[in-house]
Amino acid sequence: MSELLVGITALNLKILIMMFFGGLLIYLAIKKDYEPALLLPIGFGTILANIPFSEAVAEHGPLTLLFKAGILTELFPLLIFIAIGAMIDFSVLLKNPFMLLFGAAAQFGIFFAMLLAALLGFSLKESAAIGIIGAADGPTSIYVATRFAKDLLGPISVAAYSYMALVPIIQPPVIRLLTTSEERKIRMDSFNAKVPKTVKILFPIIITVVAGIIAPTSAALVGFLMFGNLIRESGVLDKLSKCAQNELSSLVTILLGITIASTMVADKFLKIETLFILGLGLIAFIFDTAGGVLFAKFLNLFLKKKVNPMIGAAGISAFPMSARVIQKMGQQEDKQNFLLMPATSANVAGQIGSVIAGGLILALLA
Amino acid sequence: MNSINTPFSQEAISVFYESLSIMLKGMFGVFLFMLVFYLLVKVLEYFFKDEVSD
Repeated sequence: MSELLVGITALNLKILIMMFFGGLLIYLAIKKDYEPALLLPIGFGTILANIPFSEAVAEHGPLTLLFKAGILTELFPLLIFIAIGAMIDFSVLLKNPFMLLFGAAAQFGIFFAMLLAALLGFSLKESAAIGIIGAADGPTSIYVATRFAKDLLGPISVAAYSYMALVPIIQPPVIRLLTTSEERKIRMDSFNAKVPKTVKILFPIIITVVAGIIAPTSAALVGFLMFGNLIRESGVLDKLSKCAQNELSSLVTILLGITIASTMVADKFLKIETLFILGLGLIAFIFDTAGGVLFAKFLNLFLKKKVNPMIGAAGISAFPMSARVIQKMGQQEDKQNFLLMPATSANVAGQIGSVIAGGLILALLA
Repeated sequence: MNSINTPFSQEAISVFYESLSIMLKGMFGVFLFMLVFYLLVKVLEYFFKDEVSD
């Protein structure tokens, strides 16, 4: 009889808190629609991993094996990059490449959060892994955290995906604080996003080669993203492109979520550092937004045709939420102001910028 | 999960200065990359300007 009670007797408050946290993630995924594809598997996996004596996270348990095979080898985030690359249409950016600069400015939050993490006592590599939450790009965060701070992978992933879902709540107050109503009313031209097919095919190849040569550590990150895009734009691999966008993306997302949860056991997760990481992640998103907006305002000092500074905030990687937020805010100020096209350009630039920032951090701290 | 330094300690300040250096190099690097990509897109645009668009 005592064998049947061993699980019950091993229960403690920490385990119950983690199970509640797992349930909370599942609730947010189902009821609030916050990144359900990731938060639901992470939530369920958290419950699974915290069951006393859970075979799922034992030395040869399935989640432990998946963690070693898919996360420690960096395979899962890279496979997700193929899927993301196949989903991205770079046409709007290729037609308006000036927006690439906003994809750079809006990475500021990464480095700002990294500074704060250092002040709070984290090591340099842990600070970098925490800062990269500001990439607003789950796979990049997981990729960098796997290299630099494996023990922080759980909270970093949860923070990255949660705040991506909260972009419509985080960005508007920051933008309003930094812009005037007149600035938010600035109109920007929409444009025809048709681009020659050869350009769309050459773009991912050239970007991979250039990024790989300048920062070889970014080759895998950029390369897998651009490989997915090449499959999409080649025009001869429609079946593979659709497979990458749907089946590959879904399958790896399921495995990625539940595998990350295997690191979220009570003893590792319930620490003051977790609260620091969640707070720093929020700060990273806030300063990403501020960096983009302030850079646009800075450019306006020199430009004859002014840029709506809200576009700068769309330079983060959270696609397409951020572009939609800017479009909505523009319409709130002026019903005839259509910012979706330029905001989407900046948002796509942010997807490149976040991967480049991740690659640079890997290179600078290697 | 190990926080190796006490918040705001001498060691933490030292890591902060290292991070500051990474920040400057990192932001400069991201802008440099994006500027190079901008120029590449412009070159591609120039060479294929006559091609029918999709």
